[in-house]
Amino acid sequence: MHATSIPPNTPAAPDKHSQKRSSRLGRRRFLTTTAAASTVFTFPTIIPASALGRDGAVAPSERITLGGIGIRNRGGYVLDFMLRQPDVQFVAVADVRADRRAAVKEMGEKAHGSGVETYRDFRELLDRPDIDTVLIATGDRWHAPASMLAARAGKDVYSEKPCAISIDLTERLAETMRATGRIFQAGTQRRNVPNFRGAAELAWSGHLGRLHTVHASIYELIDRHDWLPAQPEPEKDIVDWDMWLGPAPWRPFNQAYVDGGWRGFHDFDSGAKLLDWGAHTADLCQWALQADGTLPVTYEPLDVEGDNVIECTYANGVKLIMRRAGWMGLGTCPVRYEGDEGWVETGDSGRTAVSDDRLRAALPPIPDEPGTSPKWHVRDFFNCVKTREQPACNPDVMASSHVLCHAAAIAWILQRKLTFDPDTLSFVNDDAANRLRSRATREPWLV
Amino acid sequence: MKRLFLRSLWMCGATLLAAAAVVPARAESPTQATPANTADAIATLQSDQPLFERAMACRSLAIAGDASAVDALAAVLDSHELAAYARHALEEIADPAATEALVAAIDRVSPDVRVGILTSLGRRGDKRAVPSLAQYLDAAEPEVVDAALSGLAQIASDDAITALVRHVPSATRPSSLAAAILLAAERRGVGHEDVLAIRALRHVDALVNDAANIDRSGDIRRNLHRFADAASAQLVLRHVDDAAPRLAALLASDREDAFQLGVQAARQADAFGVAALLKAFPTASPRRKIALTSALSDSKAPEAFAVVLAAADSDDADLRRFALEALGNWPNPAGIERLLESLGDSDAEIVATASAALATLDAAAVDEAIVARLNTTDTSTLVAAAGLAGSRGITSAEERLFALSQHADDAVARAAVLALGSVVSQDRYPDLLDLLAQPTLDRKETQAALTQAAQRLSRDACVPSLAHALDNADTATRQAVLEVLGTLEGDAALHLIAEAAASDDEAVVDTATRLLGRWSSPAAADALVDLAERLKNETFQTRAVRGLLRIVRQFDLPLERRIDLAMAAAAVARRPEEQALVTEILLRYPDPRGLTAAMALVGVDSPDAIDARVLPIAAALTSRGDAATVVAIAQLKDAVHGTPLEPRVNALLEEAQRQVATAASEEGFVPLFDGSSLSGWAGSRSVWRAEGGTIVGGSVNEVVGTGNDFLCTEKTYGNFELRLQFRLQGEGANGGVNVRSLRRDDGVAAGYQADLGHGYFGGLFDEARRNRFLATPQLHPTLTADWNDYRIRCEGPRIRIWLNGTLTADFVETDDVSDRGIIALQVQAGRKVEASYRKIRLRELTGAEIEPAAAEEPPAEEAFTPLFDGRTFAGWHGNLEWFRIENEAIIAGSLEKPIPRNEFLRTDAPYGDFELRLQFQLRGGAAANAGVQIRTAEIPDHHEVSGYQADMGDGWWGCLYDESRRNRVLAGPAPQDRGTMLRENDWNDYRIRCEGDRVRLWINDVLTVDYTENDPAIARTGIIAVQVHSGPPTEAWYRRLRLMELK
Repeated sequence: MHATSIPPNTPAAPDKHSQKRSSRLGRRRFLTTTAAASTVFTFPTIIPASALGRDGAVAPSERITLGGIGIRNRGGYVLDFMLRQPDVQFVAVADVRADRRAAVKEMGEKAHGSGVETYRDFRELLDRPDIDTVLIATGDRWHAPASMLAARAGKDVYSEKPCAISIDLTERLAETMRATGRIFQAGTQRRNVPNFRGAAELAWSGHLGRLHTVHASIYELIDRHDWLPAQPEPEKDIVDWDMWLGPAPWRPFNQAYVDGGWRGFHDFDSGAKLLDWGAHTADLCQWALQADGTLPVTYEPLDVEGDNVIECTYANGVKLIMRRAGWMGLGTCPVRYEGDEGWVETGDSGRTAVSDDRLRAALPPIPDEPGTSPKWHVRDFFNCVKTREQPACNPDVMASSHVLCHAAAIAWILQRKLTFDPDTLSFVNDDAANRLRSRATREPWLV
Repeated sequence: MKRLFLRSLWMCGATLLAAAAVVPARAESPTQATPANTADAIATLQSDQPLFERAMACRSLAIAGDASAVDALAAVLDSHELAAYARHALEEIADPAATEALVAAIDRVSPDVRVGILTSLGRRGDKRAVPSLAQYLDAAEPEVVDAALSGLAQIASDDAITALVRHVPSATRPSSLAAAILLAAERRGVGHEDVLAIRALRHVDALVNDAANIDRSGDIRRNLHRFADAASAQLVLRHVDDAAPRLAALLASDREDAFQLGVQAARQADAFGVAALLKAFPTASPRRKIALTSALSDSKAPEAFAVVLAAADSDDADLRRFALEALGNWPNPAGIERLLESLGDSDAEIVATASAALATLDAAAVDEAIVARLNTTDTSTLVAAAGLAGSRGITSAEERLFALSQHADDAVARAAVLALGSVVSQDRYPDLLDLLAQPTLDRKETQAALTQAAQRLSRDACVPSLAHALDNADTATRQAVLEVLGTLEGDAALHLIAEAAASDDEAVVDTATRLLGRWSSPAAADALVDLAERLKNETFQTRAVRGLLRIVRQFDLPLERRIDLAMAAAAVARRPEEQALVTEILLRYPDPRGLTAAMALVGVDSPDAIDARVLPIAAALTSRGDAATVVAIAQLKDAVHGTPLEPRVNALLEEAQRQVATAASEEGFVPLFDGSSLSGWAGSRSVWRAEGGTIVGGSVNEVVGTGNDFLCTEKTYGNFELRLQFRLQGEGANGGVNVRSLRRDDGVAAGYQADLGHGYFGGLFDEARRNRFLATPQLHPTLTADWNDYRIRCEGPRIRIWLNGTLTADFVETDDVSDRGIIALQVQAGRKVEASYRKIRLRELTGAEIEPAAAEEPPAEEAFTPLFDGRTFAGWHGNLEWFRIENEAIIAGSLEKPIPRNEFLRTDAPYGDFELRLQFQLRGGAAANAGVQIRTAEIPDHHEVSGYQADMGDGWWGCLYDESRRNRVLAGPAPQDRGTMLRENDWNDYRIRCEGDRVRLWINDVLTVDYTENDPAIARTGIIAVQVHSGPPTEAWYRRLRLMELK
């Protein structure tokens, strides 16, 4: 190996002031965020029904109204938590599939005992002036265009991750949110899950010493360009294929996509599937490093014993390692933070492992909640809808970690080390990589 | 050549093999396109190939296309299916020709497509497009106007923003224009000095006030107001002169959106923001007061405190709650007092909110006040105060909390126990344990307190207490203690749980096996093996096996240990589900013992299962070259005797034996290192030393050297096999072994390097020369932390590397670089690392072993038989519309018309090992392309064929392309050398020789390819065919086709 490819082994402390902050990821820093405002371990209180209003409930006219777009598995899970908020009224669902419209309508009406309107075209839902907020849980290709249209229609947005399928769209989504001034929460809920919060606080507390390496789990990377065999298109009212494709370039219909089999396809997925977990785990690493608004400057794909590893290095030498293997079995989406004086690893099981008893003692008591739970995250969102604060995963936070993941995925796709300039959000001296920052987009969804 | 991309369908299973399948699929993807493919992609796009191929051609052009692709892309802009693909490519091609092509297309396409083109112009960000976009602001179709506005907003240049402002008086789509101005201003970035953006934002007011717009429909008016409010908020943030009145107007607006934007702006507007918020407060609705309270409390402005405090007494419960939360972030005595008072509130939710706020308040006075409240009589206050003593970790409350744990009121007692989890001292931990048996308490809560305390206190000190508590306790207590132990980890806790799992209390076994099944380190493996052997209960036994498999699959383990455990799992896995998991692991970590175990698990009766789950293990092992592999594969061969699998196993066995034979022969090797001195070697003696039969580079104790240090032989070597052992030590150590290199004046060895280091092992890097990997491993042998074997063979143009017996690099040189040079050892010193080398030995290869291609005498012409009679197509078939015979030559294609698709004239008979000779001429433009297929398969009812192609055409001359199979160039001359040997406007000779795994091509007697096929699945026989490639009018002339079969 040539000498210059090995970075100097002189990690610096992850001091957020020494990091190079990107001017394009949050030209104007949001002043406060609910999660970062306090470094003490607290979670937003759930509004209990009994405490609200004179008669024990929020009057329907005072409730935050909610519409759902593209609600299936994950969306249904998140919606379930939203339906439990006493100050939220779910009033409408839009879906390209008739069966999903019916199922979600039933789910909402069961919870509220009142009507939920259904739409095939989500633009009709967005046109309703009485809807305050939307939950967007379509496939990845739709997240950013639907979020931008919702913001332009005056809605506050909770969007499942990955919120944008390219660097270009990430930037434009964040711009739209800043310009329109809507509240936006990315569905990367682990910043509002206790054990992940606990691990980050351990990192912030200095108990780990200077952080030099953080690890983010990723799952299999896949970048398929093939088309599944064409099948006859169903009636528009059953499945609106044109609307399902939406902004994605044309391809023939196949039911498998619609049934959730779209993952791994370049036109539908984000960053060769890297963002499926990476949007969570790299985001958590950024958080632990207090590096929101900054990005690693080099991205190097390594093939370590058959596993795909991407080594990302910040300007101050701190490393973020994305890898699939070698985790401690603490559940899905694990992360690990390593400092000069110890390490912490945690995952969706809610359990946390640390290097020694000293760190164990420093860990705060942690309520038991799986990493997949958006319990506090949805509450954070609705609280911010009321207070107009910025939520934990606001557009700036989202944009940093999404761009990071996309850059890493592009390095993997091209199988070469890439250098990235956070100021211009572009790769240095690599035309192909820069061209992979954007996607083909179909008319008329060029938001 | 090439259908560009195979429609690859592959599984995404969890096995290593499936993961490996990702690599070729990725290699074929259009994202790998290079400028060299551009002509190809253009030809594909212009052909009548299926949509998929043309869509992928667009995608390749989006990655690598240049001005030459613009016309072809513009031609499909009005294709419903391809437009988005083509536009994307045109967005990414930097050349202004792309802008021109898009502009030129606007008028000739339908309004739908026009929307796309206008937006694409915006995305290009090319300022030259501004006048064209501005022209469409007055279009009849609203969608087209919106697209033009959006395009201008994207470009956001001075010209673009000026065009937007000029359009204000005549806007037909006022709300879209307002949105465009808003987005353009944002895209330009915040700047108080951005006069143009500020002027544009101010113009939005004019849109709202325009009488024409006041009469518009509700939707348009509503949207227009929203964008105008957002523009006003942007102006506030830009500190314009009238920021304060604008902010006041937003906060006083009856539009909810406007109010919200106002609060958000006020949060960032310093002093005048607070003033505006305070002014808006008295008349605001309760819901608005929540936002105002939150923003005021975040400001921490002294004058705002009274308002927040008063809000905590509001009639509105929601506002009251937010106000109390806000007081928790504001350490002020009056606020603390208000929160403490709320602990005694009759409303439980107010108590909960106040408690949460107090839990984190940073003020010493809070602790004292809470300890004082632990002595009140009011039970709800006691519960809240106890909870706070815990959440604030007030250790001075320990004694009082123990007393409260005996309180007559259950809620108080339970709150006290939970709090003790956070405050109990090591000495009193046993007392807390005693509370597990107290029936008035909730055992789960006591368990939680014990867990929390043990996490906080010393694990070693808690375990003996817990062990003691396990003795003579009832089942439920033992279960609770086990749960606590389960959270502690460590060997002592593990031992206690393993013991409990072997007890005869079924409920206890249930708890213990569950805990072991999710243990967070591999230390539980032995206990799980033991339990899996002993447990009778099927549920628990399965649980133990699953726990064991989890460790073997997921944890970092030394290879030996992993195989040991996998073997143990094979012995205890009783159900087919677990057995399948075992074979999956054995495939992931191939080992001879694992092969035997997998065979035993699968059984001889299911050939499909052997094929799927056992043979891949054998295939992964063959290159190891060890005796154990041969024995294991021989056993496998016996097991499949007489089945259709036997020939394949036999082939694997022969390969394994061959590897053993090669690896074993040490005859003729001479040491390059005398074991005690560095004589015969050149390099810095401050970096390199001879030590105990070893050459050591660098040091783990101190930093020496430059960071890239070499120890070079004084002699040079050409064809040889080099064997050695290496060891790397220290964090991030990296080294390498150079061969056929040149020692430069600065001491750097420039040339081939067999690389060493995490992520680099086994690869062939071109050090200080082309500076890239020439070959990287497909297989990744396991390395030990100690010594590992390297074997490097240089043979004519071919260089191979074996790492611990596995072939990791197989490279054939095609560039003109030296085939002789020094050998060098490398260490990346400059850090505390060492690279050590020993048993360095070398055998020079004799001429007979090498078979240098150039030295070979070509066979005489008499030995060849004609393959084409010069007059008829006898012995050949194909689509004769595209083939004719003239002057004893086969002419493929036509110069009269474009070639719609690839056409092949095929031999009737197949050929395996042979030498084929022929003459050719290629006529047509620069894009003309053709080739000769060998060892090829016909695709039933299809115009394509699949197999090797000796390629013809600019950029492809002399390459071996894998047509409709792997779809890439397998080997070929360096791009700049392709075609240099051609005679223009004359007949040229192709010579194609296939012998076993080896395929060689010569054009005009210049060797262009010497390729060795490593994939046993690729056919070694097939038909021969001559091709004309789809694209512009082309004729490929072939004559004097003659062949000699090789024995």
